[in-house]
Amino acid sequence: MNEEKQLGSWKAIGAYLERDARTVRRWEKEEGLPVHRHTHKRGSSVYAYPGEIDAWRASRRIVPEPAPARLLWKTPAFALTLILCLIMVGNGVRPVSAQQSKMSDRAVWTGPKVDLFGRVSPDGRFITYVDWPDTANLMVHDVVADTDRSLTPNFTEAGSGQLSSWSTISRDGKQVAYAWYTGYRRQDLRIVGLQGNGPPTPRQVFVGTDDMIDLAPFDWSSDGRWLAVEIKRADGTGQIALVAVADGSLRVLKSVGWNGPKRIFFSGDSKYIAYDLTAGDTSDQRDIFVMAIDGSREVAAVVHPAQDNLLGWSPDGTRLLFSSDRTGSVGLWALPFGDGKPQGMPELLRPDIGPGTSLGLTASGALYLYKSINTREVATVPIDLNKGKLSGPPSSFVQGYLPNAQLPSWSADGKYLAYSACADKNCLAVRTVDTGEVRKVPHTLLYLGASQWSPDGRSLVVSGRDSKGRDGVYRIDAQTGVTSAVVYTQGLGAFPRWSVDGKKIYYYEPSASSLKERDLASGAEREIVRHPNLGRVSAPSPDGVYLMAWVDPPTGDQGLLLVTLADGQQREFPVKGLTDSFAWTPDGQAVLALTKDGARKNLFRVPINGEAPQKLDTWPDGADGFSLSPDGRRVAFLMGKRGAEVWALENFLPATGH
Amino acid sequence: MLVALVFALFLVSPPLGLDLYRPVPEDNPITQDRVAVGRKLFFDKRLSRDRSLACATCHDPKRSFTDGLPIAVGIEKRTGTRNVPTLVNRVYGRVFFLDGRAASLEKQAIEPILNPLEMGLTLPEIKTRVGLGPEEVTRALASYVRTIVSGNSPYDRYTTGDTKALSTEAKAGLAVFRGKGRCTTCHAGPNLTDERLHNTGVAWRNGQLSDVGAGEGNFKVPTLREIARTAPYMHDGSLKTLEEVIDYYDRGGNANPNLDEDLHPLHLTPQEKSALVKFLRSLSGDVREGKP
Repeated sequence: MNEEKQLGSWKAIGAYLERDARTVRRWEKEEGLPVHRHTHKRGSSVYAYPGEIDAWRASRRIVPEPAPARLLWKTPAFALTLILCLIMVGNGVRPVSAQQSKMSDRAVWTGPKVDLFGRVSPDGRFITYVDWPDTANLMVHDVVADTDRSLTPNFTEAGSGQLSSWSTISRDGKQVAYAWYTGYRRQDLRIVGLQGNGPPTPRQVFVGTDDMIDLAPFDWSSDGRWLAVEIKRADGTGQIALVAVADGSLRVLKSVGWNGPKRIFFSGDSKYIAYDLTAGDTSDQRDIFVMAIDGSREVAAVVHPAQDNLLGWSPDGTRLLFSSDRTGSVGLWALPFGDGKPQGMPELLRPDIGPGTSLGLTASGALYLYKSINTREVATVPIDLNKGKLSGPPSSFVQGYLPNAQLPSWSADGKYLAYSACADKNCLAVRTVDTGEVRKVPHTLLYLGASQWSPDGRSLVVSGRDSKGRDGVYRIDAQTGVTSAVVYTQGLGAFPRWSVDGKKIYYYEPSASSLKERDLASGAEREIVRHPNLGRVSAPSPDGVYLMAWVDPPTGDQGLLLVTLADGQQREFPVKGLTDSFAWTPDGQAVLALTKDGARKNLFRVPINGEAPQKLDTWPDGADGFSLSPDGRRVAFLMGKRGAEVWALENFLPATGH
Repeated sequence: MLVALVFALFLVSPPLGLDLYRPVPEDNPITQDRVAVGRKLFFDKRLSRDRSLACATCHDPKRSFTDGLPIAVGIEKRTGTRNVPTLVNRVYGRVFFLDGRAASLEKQAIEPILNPLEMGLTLPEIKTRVGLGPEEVTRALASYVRTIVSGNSPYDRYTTGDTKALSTEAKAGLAVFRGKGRCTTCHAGPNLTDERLHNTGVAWRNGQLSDVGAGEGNFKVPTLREIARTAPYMHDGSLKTLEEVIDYYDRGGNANPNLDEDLHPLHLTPQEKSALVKFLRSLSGDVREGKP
């Protein structure tokens, strides 16, 4: 229940907004002002929560007029939805329409800080998140005031080894539980007050063991006594568990595969928890389950070949809310639930809400969704290395748009670009540079990072994760997609690179901070160098003598590390503002590196003979990263928007008694 | 009231390291009475044709519910074809028998009673002998087997924060188990099994399969709980010691057309092998049975 004082009439709502009753009625009708109704035997009375009104008012600053054209769903999607609705009506599947006229969607928060690690407060005013770019502190965003506040001590992420992670707000809106990392496999669960202006004083409630590689508190029970958490174990097992807030005792309810729940939510009465799980160890399709918190029984609530993701429970606990793509688009569905089991078939509430991750529901039933925005695609531009300038405008490929693209790899003959892209799942695409034609390579990995072509153009090597959750270096046949493990690693980020002769792979083993060489025929390995702060690794120099690696030390500037492959000798090249985009020049005498100076990016030439780096050109606005063609005549980079938003979906629940 | 109920239910928590939730069929909930009947039947030799064997003869509680023999021996000393698997933690199982042919303990429990190489009864004889029909017998036996659990091992204590529960060498073995040995590819989770079928090459002899198992030489991955107390090993009991098992996997199994793709030579050092054995011995814990 929302314990906030209600505004019990149109007049009171108008007074709160300093408008007359007629205006606020119009705002409710036309602009989604959140107003609720008590239905009586005859007629109804209205009421509203000040917190929701504040949030709505703040959102109007972001989306001043939530007219149809500004709705989340773009025109083609809307048209598709319309067609889909007609088809569904024909099939007897009808969206629940009880309050559709009053439904509203609002972007309540947009910007680079938005993440999916937090939770919305019951009154919709606050959203917790992690300050990933700067301090990794646990933060709270005030939706109304558009301000941000740290809930954990100020420090810089670099060097401290401490960072916050998943968080969730208690049902009374007063406390935040969060995971706090103090080092490698050292983490605990803490609780801190959400309100107040003084320095927050966190309380440790549970200490993880070094057998736990991740802790994620997802929800509080309604009485504030339990936290529903997911634990990831060192052997890859995921566990659904409860932590007692009073004494930190752990109750593991169920162990699952490595691909554990994305979300866990207590039911309104906290007798049950709901969670989503993959249909099998090697599947990415999720279904939804409900378990009694005493572990006495589990119910398969939503089992369907579609992708079903848990969103939460309706505030009155009578409906389990989830998203599903079973109709062809991602819709919002509700499953009637009572007495520990489903009470009917799922109802389609909204036919197209698009992909998103739940940040929870407010007490009044507004669903807050995290939505990723990534429209970035590959573009190319000619470059004249003699003059050190880009020699033409960027050109995008006109066919086969692939959003969510990563930096591409050029084939040795310069005819193809390979890169992972696609909004739904990492797919690997090969694009013919001259024609723009796109071909998807049917690999079997669940995740993959940037790829690199083999010198013979037959295969690609990537750092990725297979369907059993194993991270490693994988080789993918460029034609057939047949995927095979080269070596398993402890985590992603191996940056595998082919040797010039294609007989060896160089890769970074993050857990051992070790740059290694692996002979593909024999499997023999050799450590080239051990360095704790290596990031991305370049391909070998054209003569095969060196590798260049990006170094990100705890303090000081990033730089490049030149490594002699034969004996592991190292030489550092500090480069101010260095990004992790760099590539060898075709003559092997220098590395081209992209630097960042405020919002501007510049291309530098960094000679390996020790001469000072030389600025070549300014990077086009909106372009990110680069990949140099083997002949040094073109570069490919990413163009487009990347970010995230939080959207509030309101008034979608059918009237009580439906 | 609710709080008290929840608290009371938590009091009957499983041994350390195991899940609270037990996947029990809705049509055969675990009850005190049914477990008691099942326990009695488990030790009842009337369920074998010559009244010489009970379930407990092969699944001996003193041997962590195995018999210590390579191959099961039934009535009149008839020998079966496979090793007797332990019954610990089968409540968490998804498939049953070494070839995974039974989908539930209820379906599993009847087969040894009817198998001529094991207990050799017929369906009508079951009722005559013990006064209960086959369905009642299997439901009771399944309920009892679901109470046989092993946990609170040094490994469990270590993973829940007792850093001294494992010796230095056992910890090194755990690192091999999860790292170079890649044992967790199949032996993961609280029960140290993925409950899946794999071809490890054990059945491949002289260029052919001596036992097809679930087909193409696939057999279910067993739990490693109580492993030090359940020798000999593999589906045919062909390996006498843990050291032999580790040597077998270290060489990548027996090459055959359907060998699991995850098996390949491990190149473990003698120290790593020794550490791995020490770790496997830490998986013996407290075995509990008969308590719903």
